[in-house]
Amino acid sequence: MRKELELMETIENYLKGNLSEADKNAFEKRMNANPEIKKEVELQKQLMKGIERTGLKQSAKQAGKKYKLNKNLKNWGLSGLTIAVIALSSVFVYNSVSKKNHKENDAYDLPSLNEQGEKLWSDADKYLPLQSFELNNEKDTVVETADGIVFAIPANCFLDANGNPVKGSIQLEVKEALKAADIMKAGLNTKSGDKLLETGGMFYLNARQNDASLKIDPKNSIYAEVPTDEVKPGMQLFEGKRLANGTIDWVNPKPIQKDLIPVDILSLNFYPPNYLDSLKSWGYNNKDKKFTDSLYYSFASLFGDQTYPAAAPQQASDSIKKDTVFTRSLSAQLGYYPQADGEKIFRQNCAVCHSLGKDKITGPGLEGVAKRVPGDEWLKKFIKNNQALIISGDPYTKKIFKANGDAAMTVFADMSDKDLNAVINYIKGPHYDPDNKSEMNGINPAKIKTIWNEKFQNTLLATKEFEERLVSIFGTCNESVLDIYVNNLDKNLSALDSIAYDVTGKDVFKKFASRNDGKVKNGNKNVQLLKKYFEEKTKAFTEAIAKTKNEFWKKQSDADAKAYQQQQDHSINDEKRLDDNFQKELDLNLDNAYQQLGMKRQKGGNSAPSANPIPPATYGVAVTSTGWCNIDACVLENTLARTTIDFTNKQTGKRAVIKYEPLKISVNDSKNYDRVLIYLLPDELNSFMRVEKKNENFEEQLNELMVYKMVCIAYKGEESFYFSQDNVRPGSLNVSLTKTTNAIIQNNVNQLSNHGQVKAMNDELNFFAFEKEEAKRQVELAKINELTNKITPVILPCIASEVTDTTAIPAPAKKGKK
Amino acid sequence: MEDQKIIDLIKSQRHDKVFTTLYNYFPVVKKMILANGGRSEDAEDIYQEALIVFYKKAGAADFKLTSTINTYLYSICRFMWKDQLKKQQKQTFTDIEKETISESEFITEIEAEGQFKLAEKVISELGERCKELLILFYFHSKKLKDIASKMGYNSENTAKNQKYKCLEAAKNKLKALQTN
Repeated sequence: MRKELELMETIENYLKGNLSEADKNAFEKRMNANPEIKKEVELQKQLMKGIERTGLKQSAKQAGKKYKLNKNLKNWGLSGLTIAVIALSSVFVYNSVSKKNHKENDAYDLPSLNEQGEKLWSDADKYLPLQSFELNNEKDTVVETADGIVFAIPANCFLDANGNPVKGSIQLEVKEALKAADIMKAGLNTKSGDKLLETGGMFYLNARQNDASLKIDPKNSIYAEVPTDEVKPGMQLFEGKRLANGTIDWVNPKPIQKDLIPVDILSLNFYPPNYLDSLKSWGYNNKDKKFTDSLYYSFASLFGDQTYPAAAPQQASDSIKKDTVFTRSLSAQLGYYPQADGEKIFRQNCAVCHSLGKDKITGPGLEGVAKRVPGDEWLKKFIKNNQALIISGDPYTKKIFKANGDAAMTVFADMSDKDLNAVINYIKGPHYDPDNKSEMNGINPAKIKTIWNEKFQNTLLATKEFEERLVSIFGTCNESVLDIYVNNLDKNLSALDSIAYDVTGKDVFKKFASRNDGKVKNGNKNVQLLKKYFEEKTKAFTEAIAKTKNEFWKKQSDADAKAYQQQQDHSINDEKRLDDNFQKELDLNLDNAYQQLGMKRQKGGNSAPSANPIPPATYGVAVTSTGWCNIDACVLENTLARTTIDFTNKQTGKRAVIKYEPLKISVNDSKNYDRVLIYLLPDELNSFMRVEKKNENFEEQLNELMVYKMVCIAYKGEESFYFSQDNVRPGSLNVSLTKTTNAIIQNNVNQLSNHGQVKAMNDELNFFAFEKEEAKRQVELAKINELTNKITPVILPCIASEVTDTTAIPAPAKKGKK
Repeated sequence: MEDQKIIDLIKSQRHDKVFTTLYNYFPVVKKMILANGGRSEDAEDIYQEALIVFYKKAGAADFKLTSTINTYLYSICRFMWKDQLKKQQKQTFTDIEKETISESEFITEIEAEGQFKLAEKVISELGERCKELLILFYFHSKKLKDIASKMGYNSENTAKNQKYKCLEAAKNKLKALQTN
């Protein structure tokens, strides 16, 4: 163990009083001599207290949760049960009971007090046979009566007078009257007040221990099933109130619980509402469960520890930002435009003046901008050219200008529609704020992943009824509502609905509660285990998904950096190649010109142009006249401009001419290819010249002193095309490409006689191969980003709509209001 | 449950049971705080803090119950809420009920707890696993062996090492916060 950790252990033992007297004295001595150690002891002491407080807080919070749950359940449990009748509260004429029969019955002995602790008994008590069951209150018990009523009695369901669960053995007394004959025999009527009821059966239930009546724990109610030939809708449970005349009045009707029928949980749809439909409408295969799962669950990373997207892509775009202009011109030069990526575009063009929040930098903060402006089309126009809009007199633009001190925004006239859409999408968000993690508003998909699983088969989650609730749960954006359901699988669904109603105040849960859905009969009893599983698995899934996602973005960020590096290297090579080529060609031209003039050229000496090979920009336009000029300068300028050199030495009358003549290359069906690259390989140079595309054609000026080989390479998707011609002459050249493979192109390149050219061309081929892959990656990434942006409001509607508008400029007045 | 029984539970450190039972007195506190400009979240925070203060105080060897626990909790909450309102300078406390026990009885506990809030903050901001590990060991006094198997550490020794590393991280954080 490290020294620091060892010290900590000692301090811990000291604080706990675990040290021997001698060790303790030694340590105290050491501590008093060394203030550092003293400080450590103090810190550790405080930490112990901090841990204790954290633990107690957790415990107190837990108690608070329990308290709330109980409070809610209390409203729903059955309170004290007496004789009950299941009856339809509509008018149904039932034969009036003949009292005569009673006399023929033997009355049963009755205990002195009834379940209310009163002496009042009704005829029914006297004339129905008593069925007595002995059961242990500490165990779950199921009791079936003679006529087939089934009581499911949970453990500790019976309470003593003080409200504590009764221990040990108790007697359960049941009387039942299900058949009309029994009902009449017992002298039971079916009246509630003066209304007649249709009965589905009546029963009496009481429990005693040592003659004392027990109460039923309202939180832990008994479930009763009364057999019937036919289930009639609208049946209710009535409580029986004994009247002094021996009859019973039926009061306090309660709706009857409905059992839930579990189905295969995997056959249900636990996705957020509209998720599958949205995917389908965007052309995705919503039947591919693997795809829909991974897309949906990937959003769990927002609920975990993550660096995306605040850190990873930002790094990448920062490295690009370093030299934006350079990168752009390079991309333009190569015909390579990065894929529309809202964030990149935003950072490169907008972030200097606009924040995504509310803060004003130079321009206003963009939070909620899409909602306050007249629309996306307007936004596009404004971004492209806000000047044009203000000139056009657009009222909303006027307002903005006024609100921002008439400061105009930069014009982005050449931003493509695709880029505009991407950047607007990006601005709309959502923008994940890592500091705000704990307040994520929405259901963590990892929770859904956890419960949408065979483990929860045969629970109330695996029902159509829950599937229906889940839609509303998603609507609350409140995870704790989902937790209410998952953590109380042993409760009645309607009880949970009413808790959900209490928590959210949303009427839809009240409506659900009024359906009186019960629970799954004989459902999975491992409620506590499932609760734990839910908690642990959710955490594990969230972490795993967040990790995967972070890794993905790390990879993308690395790839971004690599692409940037490659592009930079390539452009440096380009410049070097252009320099070398120019130097070589200049040398060649000078030699030749001197020769024609009958002069001898001093090489490598003081000759100005060769000592200073990089031509200053000022030379560029000078030479169109054929007047007197220095031969070196003349050759330099013409070589630079790639125009014909025509120089007469006025002293000797000798003339030097080096002709540059145009070559025009047209490529058949060039529009059919993704990219067409044309190279000239001059025999005199160690490298190649990439021919620029001018208008429709590729054009270059050929030096008559050189022999050129032309190579044309084109790409289309995964296919490659090739054409080459030796000894190209000025004039027009028509290229018909042939389909081939990269290997053959490579082979052709390798067979060039000039080693410098082989190497240069190989570098070039490698770069474009890389770039093709990079473009593919960008397309994939753009697809992912697009889909993510589109699907976020479906999966997490509350985050997406969270961008509320407090700083908004009032929208333009509606027409006619003026 | 009788008050003395609760005190016994406190002495035997059955905090979960104690808190669950004592939560039954929450409604009257909530009412008081709601009536004095608080929200129900404030009421819960205050009540939970009061539960801790009372738990600590009643756990002391020399503690004697001089009034009902209900009164105790109510007074602590009342005092703390008054204090908080004063700090926020929001409004004055409209005191309907009179002080039933002297505030000096628990003021030392409230202040002592206040001192450890920084350490609590440090602990609660640790990673979930660190937090769990430390609380299991120091608060619930679980054995390292059990912790290792529960939290999936390879061995008791790993758990022990990890525990000190977590503690070290917390210590460094606390140190940084205190010197600031």
